[in-house]
Amino acid sequence: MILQLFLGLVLIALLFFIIGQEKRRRVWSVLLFGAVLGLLYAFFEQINAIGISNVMYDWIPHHTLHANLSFAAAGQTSACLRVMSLCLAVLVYLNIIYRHEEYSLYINNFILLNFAALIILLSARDLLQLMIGSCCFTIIGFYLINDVAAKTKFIFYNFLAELAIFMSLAVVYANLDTASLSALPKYLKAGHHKDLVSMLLLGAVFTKCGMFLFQNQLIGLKQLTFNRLMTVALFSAPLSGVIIFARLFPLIRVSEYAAPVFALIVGLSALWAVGGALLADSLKAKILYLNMLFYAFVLWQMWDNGAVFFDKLIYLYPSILGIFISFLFVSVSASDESRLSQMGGFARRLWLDLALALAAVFVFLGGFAKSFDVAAVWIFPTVFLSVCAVILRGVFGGQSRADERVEALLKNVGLWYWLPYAAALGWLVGRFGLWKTETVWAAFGVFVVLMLLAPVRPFLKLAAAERLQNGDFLHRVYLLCLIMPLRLLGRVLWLAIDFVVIERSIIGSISHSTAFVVRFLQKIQNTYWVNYLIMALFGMAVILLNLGWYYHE
Amino acid sequence: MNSPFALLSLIVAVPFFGMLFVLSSKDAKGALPGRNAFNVCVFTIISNIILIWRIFMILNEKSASLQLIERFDWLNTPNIDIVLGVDVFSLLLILAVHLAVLIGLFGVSANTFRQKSLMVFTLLFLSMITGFLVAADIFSFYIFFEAMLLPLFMIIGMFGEVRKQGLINRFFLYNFIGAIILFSATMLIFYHRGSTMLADVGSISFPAPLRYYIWGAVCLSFVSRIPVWPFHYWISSINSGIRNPLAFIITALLPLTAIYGFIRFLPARLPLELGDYIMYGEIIAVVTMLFIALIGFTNRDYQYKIFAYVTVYYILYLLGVFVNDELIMTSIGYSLFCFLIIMASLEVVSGYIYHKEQEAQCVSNGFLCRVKRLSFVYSFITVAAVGLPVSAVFVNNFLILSRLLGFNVKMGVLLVLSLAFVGVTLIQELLRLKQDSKECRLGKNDDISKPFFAFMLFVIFILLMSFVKPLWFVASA
Repeated sequence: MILQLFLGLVLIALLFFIIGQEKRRRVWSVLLFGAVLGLLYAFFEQINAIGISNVMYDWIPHHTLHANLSFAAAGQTSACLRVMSLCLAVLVYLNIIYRHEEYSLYINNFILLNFAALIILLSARDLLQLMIGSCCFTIIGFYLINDVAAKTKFIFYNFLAELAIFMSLAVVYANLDTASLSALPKYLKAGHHKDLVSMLLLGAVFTKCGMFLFQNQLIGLKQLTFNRLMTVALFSAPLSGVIIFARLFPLIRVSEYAAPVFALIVGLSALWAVGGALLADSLKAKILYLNMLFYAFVLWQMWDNGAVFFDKLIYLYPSILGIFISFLFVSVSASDESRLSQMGGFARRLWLDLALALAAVFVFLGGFAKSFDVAAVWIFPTVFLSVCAVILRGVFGGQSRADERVEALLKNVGLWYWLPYAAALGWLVGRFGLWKTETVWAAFGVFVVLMLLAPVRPFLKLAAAERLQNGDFLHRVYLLCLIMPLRLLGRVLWLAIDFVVIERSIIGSISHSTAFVVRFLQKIQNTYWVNYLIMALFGMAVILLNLGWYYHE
Repeated sequence: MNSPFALLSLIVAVPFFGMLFVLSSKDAKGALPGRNAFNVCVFTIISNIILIWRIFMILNEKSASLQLIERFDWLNTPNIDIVLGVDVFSLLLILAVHLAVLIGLFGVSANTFRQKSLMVFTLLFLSMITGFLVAADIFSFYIFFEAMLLPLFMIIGMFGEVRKQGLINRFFLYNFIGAIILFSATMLIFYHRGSTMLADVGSISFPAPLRYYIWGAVCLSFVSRIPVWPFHYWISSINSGIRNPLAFIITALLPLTAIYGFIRFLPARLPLELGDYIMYGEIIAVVTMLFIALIGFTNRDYQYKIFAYVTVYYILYLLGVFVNDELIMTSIGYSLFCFLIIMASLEVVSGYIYHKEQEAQCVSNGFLCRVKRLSFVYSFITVAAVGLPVSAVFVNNFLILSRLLGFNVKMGVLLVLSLAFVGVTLIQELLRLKQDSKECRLGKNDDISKPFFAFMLFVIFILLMSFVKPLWFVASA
């Protein structure tokens, strides 16, 4: 079953790559959407009936390296796939109706492949499959991004992260002589270079999740359209990062340096994300900073127990996606304006958008309360929703700052947007009984009050600060401290070693000495009496030396 | 197992006879100069690939020893026989070399400059390198090891850059010294032991001073063909100076012969006294890797970037060879198979872009945004080249690196760093070609032709299948 789903997704994607045409993209996309829904429905029907699906392909049967490709849907994996299927359907549908997506079919194909990569990663039982799954996310992410600057950052950061994973797992394999994930406890007991492995993996996870020092690869996505940036930021490399964290969590924790480094980076990431989400003017940038905050929370939660991702955290994805989509609705309603400084006072005209945003917040609160002990982790929803409140206040509250064009064309999102969205939120509320909890209502009340009172002006004042909004501080630091010196070193090595040492000294001296020997030989063969004398003396010297050697022996 | 129908001699002879056919070929009126020669060359290589495939089918892939042995009497006094034999490793390399040259041929299909000569020397080189890879005795090994230099010498002379006189001097200098010392080592081995079989060389024990000389000479002669410092300079200047893709691919195959030489000559257990020297050699190799990777990262010339990539990977394989482990040897074989195909494909598509750039006299920045077929092929080849999981390079390099990391973790870290540098270098080039620029005057019409695209799809298929199962084309695998 799981193999059928995997192959089905890959085949649908490939088929639509080949036969799909961009001229009638919506028609093709609808066909694709139907095919995917059918495939997912058939899969979950069977899973509901049987409960488990395992397939194993004997990939490398060498006696010193036995690696399998396994596909499994049971327990945690199955639950994870259910949640992600919902998100997949939402994203595919969104790409069909979002008018700014020129290549909806193309992006939908990659979303299907991304889901297939998720199956590989979730089913991994050995190191090789884990790496393959992770790399697939990087490759697919590369194609999902259509802005070269964002693509550049994404691929460089993720490529280096892949190499870090590759190297750390190579060290583990060198110690274990088996690629099986179940053998990791042996490495923890008697393995070498644990600090190196731990730090490399931690660095890779931070890079993939876009944590502090590595956030550029995700923040750079603000140049993309809403649908693409949400897909990449929420479901591409960062998702693979947290799954790797969950699967290799004992290896990461093994070093004594891991805990302080982890706490420092995750803490700084959260602070940076909150600051960025408040100060950024663009709604897209705000989404990306909120995404960073979410992943900081995910990693923080997983530090004590990696499995919490599959038990609890995975259920937050639909509600986070819901909040991000509500921001997209605002932009669609405001003629694609995405700057907060050009919005404000939209509550009356965009009442439906506001209602949908509030519904998304409610679902988020309900989902969170259902999965977590709010008293223990109150800080994340508080901070996350406070930032959301400021953003929504900036969009819907106060005086309008929109220009005439935006003001004139303001209208609630169309039926194709809001109806499925409202239906999905309604289904979530009804299915999980989110409306039954009093705490959720109380928290929602607080959110509404906060939204009414949230200060926006101080942040809006900074909207015009070009350096703050578009400056890439970290990129400059890397350029100055890392890339420039490396380029300089490369240049110097090339000029100094290749040209001066080898070309001029070694090869030059060999050429000159050959020429000298040739000249010398030519000279002594000239018909001058001095040459005869020298040659005769040389011959006598050789004879004398031989004689001396003979008598000495 | 003895060879039916002298198949091994046949795969050495077919390119040679193909060369004779090319020599006698004439072009039809109105046809491109050298077109007939090109067709004969392609036909010869495809025929030989079919023969190689046939050999794979009758080979016992689980056996590590040489199979299909063919023995020819050469001299009675002294008693020297020419012996040929193959195992899966050498046959994989033969197949990879043929595929790499075939890919290179597609890169020069529109070439009209000395096409016939290029085809002649290509087939001669192919014949010699095939002979080298099937050689089972030290004399045929030596003869083919040196004989392949002749076509190489001619190719560099014809297709080298402006400073080719200097390049040929260097080529001659390094290879001549290498040839002399390998010849002396070969004679000493024969004189001392009397055995000429390559398989026995590793188990011969020599007296102390001779041991140093023989192994030192063997190592030096092989190293002179690998771009390890300070020998890298002649190869780098030749590789970066050649703008003909086929000529580049052929010169880039030279280090392969050295790596193969190490595999065949290295004793199963390295003499303890050599351990220290090998350690120094490894340090030099790793530093060279990092050094060339850094230069490739800095250099703007695409040819140097590809050279840096090729060098770093060859040195990785060389270091893997010194681990002397059965699994790693198999991994090196599988990885090299894909690596050679990737290297050839990368050179051909980069060469295509370079020539388009020269024709239109503009920069090629953003060229890939306008050409779908080339963009797909180039992207895929780059993804494969940087070691992501789309070819056998990924899994096998993981195994090689894991052994090297287990052996010396510091060296392993530097290796991965070098791999990161060349990976970033190639990705940088890909992104440059994807970043649209108004200065680029190339358009949709400059895309690769459909037959070429179909051929590259076939190459991509081979790479993908090698990832799933390295010996997928063998029925029993």
